Amino acid sequence: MSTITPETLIPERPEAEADLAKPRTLRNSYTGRDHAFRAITFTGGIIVLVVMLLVGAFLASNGVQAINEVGLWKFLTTANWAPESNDFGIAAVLLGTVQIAAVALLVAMPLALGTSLFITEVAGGWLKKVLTSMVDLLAAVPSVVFGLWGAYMLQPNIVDFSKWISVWFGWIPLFQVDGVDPASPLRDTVPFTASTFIAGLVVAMMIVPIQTSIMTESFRRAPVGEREGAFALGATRWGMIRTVVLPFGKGGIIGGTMLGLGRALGETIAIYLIISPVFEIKFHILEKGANSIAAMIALKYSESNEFAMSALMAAGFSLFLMTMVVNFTASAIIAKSRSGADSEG
Amino acid sequence: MTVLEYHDAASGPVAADAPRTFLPQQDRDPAPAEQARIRPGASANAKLAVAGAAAAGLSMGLLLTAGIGLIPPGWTLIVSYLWFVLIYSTLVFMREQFSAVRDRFVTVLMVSAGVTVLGTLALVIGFVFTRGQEPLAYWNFFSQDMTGVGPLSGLDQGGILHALVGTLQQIGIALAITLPLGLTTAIYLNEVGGRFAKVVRTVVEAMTALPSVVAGLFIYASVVMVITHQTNGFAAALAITVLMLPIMIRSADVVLRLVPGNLREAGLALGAGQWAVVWHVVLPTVRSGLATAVILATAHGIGETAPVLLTSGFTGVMNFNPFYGPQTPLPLAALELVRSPVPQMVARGFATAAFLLFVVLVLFILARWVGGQEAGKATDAQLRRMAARSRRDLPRIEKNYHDFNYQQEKE
Amino acid sequence: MTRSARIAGIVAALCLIFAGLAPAQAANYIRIGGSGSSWAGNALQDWVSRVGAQGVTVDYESKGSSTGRKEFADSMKQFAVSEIPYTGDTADPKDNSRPNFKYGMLPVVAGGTAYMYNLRAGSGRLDTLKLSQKAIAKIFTGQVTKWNDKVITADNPGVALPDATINVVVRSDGSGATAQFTLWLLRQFPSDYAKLCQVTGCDPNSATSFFPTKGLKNFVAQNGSQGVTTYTANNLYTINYDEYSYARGINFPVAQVKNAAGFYTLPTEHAVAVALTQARINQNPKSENYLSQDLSKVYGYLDPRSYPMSAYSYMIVPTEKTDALNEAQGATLGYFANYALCEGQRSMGQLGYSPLPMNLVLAAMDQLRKVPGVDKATRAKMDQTAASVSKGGTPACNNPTFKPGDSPALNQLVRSAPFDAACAAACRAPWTGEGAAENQGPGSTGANKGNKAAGAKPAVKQPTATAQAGPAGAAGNGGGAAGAGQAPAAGTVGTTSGGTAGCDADTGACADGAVVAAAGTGTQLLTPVSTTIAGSNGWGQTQLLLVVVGGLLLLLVLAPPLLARELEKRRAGRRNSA
Repeated sequence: MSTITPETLIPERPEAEADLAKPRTLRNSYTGRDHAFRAITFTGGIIVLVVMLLVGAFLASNGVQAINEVGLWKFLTTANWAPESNDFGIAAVLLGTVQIAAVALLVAMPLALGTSLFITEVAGGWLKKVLTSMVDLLAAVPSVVFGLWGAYMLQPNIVDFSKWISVWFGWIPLFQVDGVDPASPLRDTVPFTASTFIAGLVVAMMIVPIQTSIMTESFRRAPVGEREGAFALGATRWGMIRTVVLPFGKGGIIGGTMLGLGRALGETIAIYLIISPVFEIKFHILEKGANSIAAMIALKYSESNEFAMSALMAAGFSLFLMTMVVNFTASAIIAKSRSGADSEG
Repeated sequence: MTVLEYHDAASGPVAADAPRTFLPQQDRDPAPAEQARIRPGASANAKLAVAGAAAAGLSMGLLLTAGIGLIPPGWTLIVSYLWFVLIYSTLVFMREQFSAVRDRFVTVLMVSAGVTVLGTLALVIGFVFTRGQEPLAYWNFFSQDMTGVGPLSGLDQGGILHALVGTLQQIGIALAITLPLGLTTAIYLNEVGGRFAKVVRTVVEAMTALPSVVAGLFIYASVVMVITHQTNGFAAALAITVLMLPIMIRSADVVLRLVPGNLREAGLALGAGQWAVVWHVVLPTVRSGLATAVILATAHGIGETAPVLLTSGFTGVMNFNPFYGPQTPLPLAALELVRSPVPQMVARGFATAAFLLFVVLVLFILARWVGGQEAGKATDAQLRRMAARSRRDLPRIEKNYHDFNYQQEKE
Repeated sequence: MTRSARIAGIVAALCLIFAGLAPAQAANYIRIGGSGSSWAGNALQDWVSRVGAQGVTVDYESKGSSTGRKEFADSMKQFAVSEIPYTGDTADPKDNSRPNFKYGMLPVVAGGTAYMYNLRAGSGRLDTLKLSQKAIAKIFTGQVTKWNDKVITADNPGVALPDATINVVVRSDGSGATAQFTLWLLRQFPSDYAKLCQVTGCDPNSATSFFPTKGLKNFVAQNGSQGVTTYTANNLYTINYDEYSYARGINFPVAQVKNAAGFYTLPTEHAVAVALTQARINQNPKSENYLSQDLSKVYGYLDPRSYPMSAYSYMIVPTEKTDALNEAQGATLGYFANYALCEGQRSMGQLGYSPLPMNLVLAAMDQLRKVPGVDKATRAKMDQTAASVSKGGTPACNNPTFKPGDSPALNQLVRSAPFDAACAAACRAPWTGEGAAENQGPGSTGANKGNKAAGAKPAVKQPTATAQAGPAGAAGNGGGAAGAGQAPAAGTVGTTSGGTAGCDADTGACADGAVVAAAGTGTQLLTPVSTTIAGSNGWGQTQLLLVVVGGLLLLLVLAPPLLARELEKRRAGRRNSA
């Protein structure tokens, strides 16, 4: 090897005089091993990129082929799904997906917010630790477990609540249930089963842990100094939460909610187990009959011939686009809130 | 040998002062997180108000439901709860300022939300275990497949061994693909970087949004219908791979980002090449973090139902060959079994789901246990092992030193 | 150190998993798979588990006939099971998947489409429901939506049917059962089918595999036979259509259906066998639909024992080598199908199906021989079966439809089918002895005696008219109904329990305590029985009442303490000022 100098060299420090604002360039030279390492990891990156782009491109090209057959506008506005007679569109399923996700979000968001505030602000000591791990664990529970619970426990019990809402609030069109005689003394629960509402509730339970986990994370980072400042100024706990924790965790709240929304839009099995699929545009969320893009794919894929498969891929691709936009927004918001947190901390 | 011309770009303190040595300890041990010093407590009065309001609420609930029958008895709890909130707020209002009332009211809401969520989730898990407990008590449930099990067969026949094998093989194949590919890519994103890495990162980010059923549909249309011409375990493994890959890359990426830059710098400053730094510094530092990421991605992959519904095919018979014939994994077995109208089959389905839940639970605890330490921090045992290793290394270093001196003397 | 141990552990585990890659098939038959009809799914599962016990692995997925035909056409499975063929006038015209190879159809099992329902009578389940074909048509086209509709009560005199909505549960996936059912609607009740199509927008001139439910408020669609059956079992006031075995498997009642002769029958193996003597079988061996069925004559068959909604289910097999089927797989397929056709038929009656008549078994075996790769052992078994049938020696396959020495077209189940008690000797005469009908298809004599024997034409055209003639349910008029085929109004093969009274027959309002109790603990007490809001989901008197009551209660609880506090404050203020 080359010579090894016995004494320590103190490098010259030209940067002391240089313009500090200007980042200096970094020059590396690599050995053969390093080049191999870089090449291999680069290949890994390329493979992943190709695979991922392949998935996207395959879905998109197949989908576009199906959409071209009927035209984009018709694809977006048709409620029926009959690819064999060229009469198909995602109006109904898209609306159903959004409705289920909306119900899920409306239920999950306040619950997640309350729970994460409970974990960070009210619970203390060991309880806080246990609850945090429990929430993280629950985020890993497979969706089929929630689906089973929804179909076999929630549905038989929630129908009475659905009926109660429809009886007392049926004058609001959203809660209207057709084909039910409220005066009948018979307990006919069928009109209230398999509804958007029930599917939404199950999905809500699935996304609560994810949302809670993200919100808890962001609330926890609210600086202790500011909290104490608020208390010192005479704020109650709620006053402190309102003025310190919530503004600080805003990014986490929005980001977590959006991430939950992304999950809710793509959820399949829980909805598949519960709904009675319909292909019509409807707004009565308590009434039986619902649909979502994901559930439709799971129900229809096996009997679809080549063209119907393309149509399904068009629907799947539009769902993918939707979840992608939601997820990107979410991660952008979370990332932004994080960087903000760092600078303040 | 690597020649490094390294100019400090970011870290500040070097610039102003005279040259100073930093002990790595200081970077590794940041100041402990601040503990909250103020915890809003509750006076005896406030506690009594809660108890009183709870009693009053329950009484009102019972009165309205069981008492005068205005509301069906199923609603007792909800009615009582609403009354409790109302009465409690009133009680606080009678003694305190409005801001205090609002505070207590919101606190009640927060606690209720927490209890509702955790209670419901406990209910979900408890329900699945309760409904599935009967088959779980039979050993054959874990040691047999469903060959010859009809609707009238008792629970002492048939089991889910085939589904367990299916899950293990499929997740094994998926891991065999995702593990090297995912970790390499994550290292590429972090250690190599560049404009192309940004593109890869964005695409990976986008792919984490891929709905699971769409991943299944993709594999069904591109692999099952075109290449394999049948649903089998391999197709299911590919579907799981498509889902797991972005998740693993992203979590590994996040973990790798936690490696302190000065650790890398220290490695480079000691004259190590990039590969050597990654292999000897970066990866050992985040070993536990990476293990956690892998385990959590595995747990995620095992629980996926929608993609395997489309790709694995359904059978009750053991299939050891993932490349030929249907091979049902656990979540699909649970789904198909509960859809049966026969009570025993439904019980088996719940038991399968409970078992799946148990597997995920174990993986999760494993992940927690492995990833218990933060990046770069070592447990006592690890420190002892490191010390022992360096003691073992000492003779070698001394010998090198000796040889070097000897050479010098010769010159 | 620990890492290497861990890696070693993982490797060992993987080795264990893949160690079993060696073929597990004992009898050297390679694993094959099929998919399709869930109507015939229980029969297939039975055979699969039986050959599984012999070491031959066959995977069958009951995903619906449409899926089965599509996956078979795409060479994804070695065989399919479907009630309807790919082509012809009984096929689903919307289904355009076709195999690009030669294939053949072979009947594998017969069965009856049953109408499973979930109704309560008193504390138990109502299990005596009778339905005319007209009523079924009206129910499943959404024209009759109440259980106590006259069309239904006319067939059920003395039974307290609830004033509840009929929740019709149909298949959401493409299904052969739906195709057969809509075909029956189309052929027998075209005007009702047209009405259904008017509402839902389906094609009134062709049957469909996908039940149209659009805009029908009392219809629920569920996935697969299992989904439909589970939903019906779990929800009150529901009715569905599917194979009898599904209801039978969970001990649920199915409706007794009124046949053309005016008798109510259950889809037992006998009733199905009787009905299917009238199934017209495609007898052109050149046709790709050879052996396929035409059920037009089954629906209106006058035998008093006939169950009108009977059908065969078919296995579709490739008759040349394809991407999905090589010779080794063909050998397994031959073994499996031969088992199903021969020994497999024995258990069908218990399961809720009806065994195939011997002439169809033989014809199906001839079809099976065309499958490439069927091995010698299987061929020998088929030869043996054919020989034993023609020689009349040893019982062939122990098939309960066959008696040695008789023509294979004569189904013994038809001969032994029990008559309704109300059907007297004169009513029975045309259908017994020489008059017993034989199965059509290859091997039959062609002349169907049974059909010719039905000289007397009873009131077939309007089945409901005869029912309305005797609504009182006089079971004692059995002796009086001597005229051949004259329909008695009541008395069935099944048991008729005493009528459960309690409901007002005119208004349909059930004051029956048991029924009210059955209404459950839900919101029944909360639901105000008020005529003003009945049917209109608006803001009305009761809603107002609830708000008023709630407000009053609030006032009652909260006013005293708050008032006291105010007074206290005021008093304190006065004291302070004083």
